[in-house]
Amino acid sequence: MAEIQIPATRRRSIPGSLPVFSLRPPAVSGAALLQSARALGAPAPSRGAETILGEYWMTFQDGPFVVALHRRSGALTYRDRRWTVTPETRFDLDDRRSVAIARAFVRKARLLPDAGARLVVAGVTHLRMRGGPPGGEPGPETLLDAGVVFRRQVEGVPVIGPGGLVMVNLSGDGAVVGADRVWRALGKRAGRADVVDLERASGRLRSIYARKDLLGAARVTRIEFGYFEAGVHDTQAYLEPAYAFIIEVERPAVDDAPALRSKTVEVIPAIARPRQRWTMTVPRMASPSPARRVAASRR
Amino acid sequence: MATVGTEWIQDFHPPPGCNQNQLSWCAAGSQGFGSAMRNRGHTWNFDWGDDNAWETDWRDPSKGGDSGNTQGGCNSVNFTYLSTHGGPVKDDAGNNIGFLACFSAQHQRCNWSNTTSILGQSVQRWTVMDTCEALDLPSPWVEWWPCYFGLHEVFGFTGTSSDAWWTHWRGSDFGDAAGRGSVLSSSWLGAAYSFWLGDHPVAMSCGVNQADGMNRLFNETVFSGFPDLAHNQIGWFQWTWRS
Repeated sequence: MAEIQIPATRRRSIPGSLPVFSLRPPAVSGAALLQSARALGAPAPSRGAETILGEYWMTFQDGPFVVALHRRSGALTYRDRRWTVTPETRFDLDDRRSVAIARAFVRKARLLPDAGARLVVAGVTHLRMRGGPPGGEPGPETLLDAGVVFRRQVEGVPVIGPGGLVMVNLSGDGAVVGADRVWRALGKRAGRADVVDLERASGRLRSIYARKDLLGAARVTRIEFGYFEAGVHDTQAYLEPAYAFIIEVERPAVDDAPALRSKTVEVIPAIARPRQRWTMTVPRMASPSPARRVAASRR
Repeated sequence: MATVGTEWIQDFHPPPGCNQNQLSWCAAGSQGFGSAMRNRGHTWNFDWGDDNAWETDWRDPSKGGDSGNTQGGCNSVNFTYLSTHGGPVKDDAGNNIGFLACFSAQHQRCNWSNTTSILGQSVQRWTVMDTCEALDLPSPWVEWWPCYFGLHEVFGFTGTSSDAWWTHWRGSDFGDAAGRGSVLSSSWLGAAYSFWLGDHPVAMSCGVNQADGMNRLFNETVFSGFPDLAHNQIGWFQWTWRS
């Protein structure tokens, strides 16, 4: 039986009830893909342009421009492959300028399915590189791009999870060289539900961990509350409030093995009867190996 | 085309077995990679999970291991993917000197330390350590240089990496991109980076010098045919990450 340490947090007030929203099915078609590509800045399709329908993605490719829509989520990814890293590549725009360029791009490229959606800056990340000779000191770190991350809010409530965000990539000269969006189109209100308070959600988390047999201490490193939006690969029909607990476990060093850390996340619905059902099973892969291994030397 | 081998461990055992905290999504990561590579025309030679995955598959014969065996040896395929617990091996002063990964079957030992390996001497070119702390910044080369004998590139994380439903697709996404010939480093960073969960993937290449290290890091694909470098030819390590 394991205990989990949940830090006492001073949280901004959590509403007693919130609307639940349906989400529109993703609009993924050749026409939608071409429209996205043009809005993102691709020229009129050349004779070499092609659209590829894969198992998960529908991809438009024309020279260096690659735009793809995910068939389950409507997630979009865009790359301008003219941008590559060379020994001269540098990025030195400040964050304010980067955010302004990225924000203008999101609007101009009509990257969000919800007109008028509020863009909240979540952070400015950078692709970085460093190197050095074996046995020597590494050289200085070099910034190569900026990845400006915007998170979604719905009626003032933050959206949490691997979805509900846009990242716009900028090169050092301020050009947009890529973008990723996981931002499902909002549908109608699908009722209103009472919100479970943090103490009750924490109780559920404790009961989950009480059933585990853990080595070392489990502790919650971050708690988030908001509408939960899933990632690129998931079908989602409803946007509902949830708590996300990011958890780290550290198993102490034993004998010759060092202390080992691991990290996971528990997402606990913040309403009593969520409509969204997640199918958390992975299709069985046709593994090339038999179920049971016998050492070749013993055969 | 490349040959691929995958191993994953998520179901550990209480003492006297190999005891670690259970994981949940390692099979999905490793098998997702193997399956995606196969879908792109590459050959998925082996896939061993839990007690069928052995640390001897990674340990060099000169150290009593069996890394060349064709049934599951890491040196028998071009591209390996291992998903389990991992962390740095440290010296008495607390400095990182290697990398350790955990297995559930004590085929001989419960843990594999890469200080017992000679990677890349045969056909192995690329390896993914889908574990925590396999390429810890600021100097990830320290953990890998001693076993770099022809290996081209290592993919891993600095700090912790999540074991979660919401991120288990990274193996499949990486295999899909790598298998179709995209640049390996950007494919790994694109597949494995999670802003939300703070997963920070790292890709590291070696080269004869700085220019060669950079060229390999930002241009190598499974089809590009960069020449192998013997251990004593390595004059530089170059690594990239997003944070």
